[in-house]
Amino acid sequence: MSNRKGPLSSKLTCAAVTRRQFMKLAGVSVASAGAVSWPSPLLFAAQPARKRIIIHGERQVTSLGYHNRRETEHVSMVDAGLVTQNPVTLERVPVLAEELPSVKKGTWKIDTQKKTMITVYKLRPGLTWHDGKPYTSKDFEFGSQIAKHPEFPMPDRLVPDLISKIETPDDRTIVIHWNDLYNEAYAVQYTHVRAFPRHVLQEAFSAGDMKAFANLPYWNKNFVGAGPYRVVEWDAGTRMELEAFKDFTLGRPKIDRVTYKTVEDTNTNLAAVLAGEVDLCMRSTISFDGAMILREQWEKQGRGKIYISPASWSWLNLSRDNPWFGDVKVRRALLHAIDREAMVQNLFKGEKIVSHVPLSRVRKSYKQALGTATLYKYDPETAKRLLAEAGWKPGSDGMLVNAKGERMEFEFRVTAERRDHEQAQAIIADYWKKVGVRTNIKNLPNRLLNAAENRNRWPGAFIGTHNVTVEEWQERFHTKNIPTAENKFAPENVSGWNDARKDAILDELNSIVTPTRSEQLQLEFLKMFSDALPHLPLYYSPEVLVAKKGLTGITPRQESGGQNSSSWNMYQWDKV
Amino acid sequence: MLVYVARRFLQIVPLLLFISALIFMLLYLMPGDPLYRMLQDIPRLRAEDYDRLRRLYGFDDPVYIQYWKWLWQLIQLNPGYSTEYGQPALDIIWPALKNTLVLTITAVVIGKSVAILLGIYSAVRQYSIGDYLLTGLTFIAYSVPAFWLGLMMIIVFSVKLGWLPTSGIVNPDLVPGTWEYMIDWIKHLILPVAVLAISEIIQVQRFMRSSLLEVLRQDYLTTARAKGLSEEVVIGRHALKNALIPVVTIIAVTMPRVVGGSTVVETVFAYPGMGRLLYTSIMGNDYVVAMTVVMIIAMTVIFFNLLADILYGWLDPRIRYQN
Repeated sequence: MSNRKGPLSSKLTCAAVTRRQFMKLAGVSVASAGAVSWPSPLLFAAQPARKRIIIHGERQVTSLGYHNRRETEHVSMVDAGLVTQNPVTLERVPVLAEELPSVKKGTWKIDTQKKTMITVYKLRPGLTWHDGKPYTSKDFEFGSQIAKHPEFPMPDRLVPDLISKIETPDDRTIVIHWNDLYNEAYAVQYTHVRAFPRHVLQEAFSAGDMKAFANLPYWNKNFVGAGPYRVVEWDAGTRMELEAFKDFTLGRPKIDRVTYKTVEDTNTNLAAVLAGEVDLCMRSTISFDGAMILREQWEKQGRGKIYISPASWSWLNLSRDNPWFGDVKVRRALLHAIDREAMVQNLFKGEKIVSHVPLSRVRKSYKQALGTATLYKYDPETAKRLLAEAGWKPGSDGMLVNAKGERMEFEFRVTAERRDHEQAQAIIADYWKKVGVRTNIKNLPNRLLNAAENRNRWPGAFIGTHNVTVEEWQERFHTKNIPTAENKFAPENVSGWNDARKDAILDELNSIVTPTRSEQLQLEFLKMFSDALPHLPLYYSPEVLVAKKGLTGITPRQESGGQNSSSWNMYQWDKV
Repeated sequence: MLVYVARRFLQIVPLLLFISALIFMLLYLMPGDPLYRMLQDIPRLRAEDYDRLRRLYGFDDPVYIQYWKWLWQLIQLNPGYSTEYGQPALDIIWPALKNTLVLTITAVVIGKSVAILLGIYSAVRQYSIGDYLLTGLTFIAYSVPAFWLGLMMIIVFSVKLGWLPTSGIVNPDLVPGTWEYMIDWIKHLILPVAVLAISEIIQVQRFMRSSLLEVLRQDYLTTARAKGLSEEVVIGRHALKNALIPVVTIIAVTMPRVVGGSTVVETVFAYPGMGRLLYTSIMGNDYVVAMTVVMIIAMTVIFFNLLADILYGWLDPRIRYQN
């Protein structure tokens, strides 16, 4: 740099723009930016509706179709399947179908010899899509073609792969041919197979470019479904504006307009509830601690209702790769060493949600299961005795040592973002210390836990949560679903529980059985589970829903997983 | 000067290439699998489904192929599709950018103007009660995390007083183009702008103060005063311009935030801007969106650095660039 002006540089410096001009330019820039950023009137063209609610959700509305990351709660708002599930009674309820296929009526034919089935669904008369076009059986067949297309990024193709053929003898009849026995064939979930409007998608699908097809704006922004609400606006990741679909087959929704906003921060959601800005906070938007604050400062004043439902299941697993934990006495001892009642009392302020078996409390067999299963009460003396029987005796410093001189010390992991798991971990580590077991806490964020090197395995102990539905036991506990290097550690039987009888029970449960037989099998499975303790059951993870006074019809789901969704009956919600 | 600027622009090309490769590698090396969300939510996903999805989403290509595909699309101003939303990345980024520009430009203009004025006051009234008070407040504000400040403001102004909304951009009930709508829009902006502006003030005020104090000790100001110029003219016309030079650097360095937004503030106020988008895209392994956002921020950094260099010459006639 030079201190003196050269003839050329003097012409080329900013002299062309005076300071005053610069300030004007800056002002104009700021004003232009403001003008550009003003939300477009087109986005809000509709007039205010008679009844409107604002819903806050933690999850972004990414996709309303099959693929990418999609949420059952969002899909239930805008689309409907043949059948849905009441998340409180767990009863299957026909929506677009007139009734559920049944063996008695001949609409569910089972050939146990050939292991094939046929189910016949009859659509309700006069069904239409959100754009007014008729909804026919051909649309369902088309939906199945999409799900089965090898180049379409459908994540879970288990059910589509079980369908060998779909026939559509008329516009209202869907005949599904199954190439294997499938106990849910009478209530096909829309997350697995559902109809999509051929008149909107057929051309793009036939063009064959499945990448372009999967990225069509149809799947979120321009979604056309058959559910209680239709999408009016969709802002990526932030907001979805919905309008009541007057021709919804189960009746016009009572609330005219719904705004779904993604608000990730639980404190912001809490403040929004207290400020009266939101009508409904969906799951994960309010923390359990936040719910307790609202119970005191909000619910008691009659400003709304807090729903806390034990929807999913938190367990502790002792690594399948660590030989110490192969001995069931060690697993039983470590469960006896934890005072789960006190822990849950401490964590969840008196909610009675200690779990003993992987079954939700709304299942018919739950009470009987508790009667037959082996229960492990807090008993540190029994814990010490069992550990001694397993060859673990206290050393000079009180820590357990085995015959090889190994000290019982191992890594203890939870997901770093899960506050209740972190709290439970600290409590459990303390209980275990009292019986001579030392743990080294090493928590990892979700991203790292799901990285190839960590997925579904850990060196010591891990606290996890998963859905508690019986229909997912096959995935969670069957020997064929033990994660290994060959299957890229993708399957979910993380406990590594390997038992032929247990597998036979799960296989039978997954085939066609009567409700009575199903309950017998469930009880036998749960008894085996409680004896073998592949997981140490901890508690049911509470799901919090917050509804403002005046909002009626909300039914919080009692079980996570499957098609269970709190928005399953949105057409019945009302604001009074 | 023109040659200098042209040369700087030419240097930008390899620099951007280097940055793009660096960003790509950093995101690529980030732990976690792009498909992990699907794996988490769908217990029935089988190993063959996993392989199929990796292939369909293009995650099984060698890293250099993935980089080249993305770069080639970026050069054509079409960085590809978001894996989260299945929409063109620019369609996702553009609305977020507009929202962020409104928020941050407002905050920067207010914050930096106030900061410069307070800095001048502190320097001119050095060791006065006002100076001590401002210094104390600045240090307190500096120690307060933005998320906490944001939450406190929400509790006071939204929950307790009920004056301002907690989050979002505008009440969806209102009709655009009406005064009600505009007032509501401004109301939604007040809290996030206030939090960001406070952070701007604490950054620039201290620099302005020290820079002006240094200039005030220069001989040429004594000369100006000896010539009988008033204190306003001495400070306003002679001292301030030179004192602004280091401040311009600070402002230029902080300007990329105008485009990048503030992840914390945007998350606390559920404001759909660039910062929040960057965070969600990284957490969701939406590489295309995350990389494009980071590239836009990187380009802004380069641009404002260049602009700062050019502004030096304008602010201080002694500074000229050799060809």
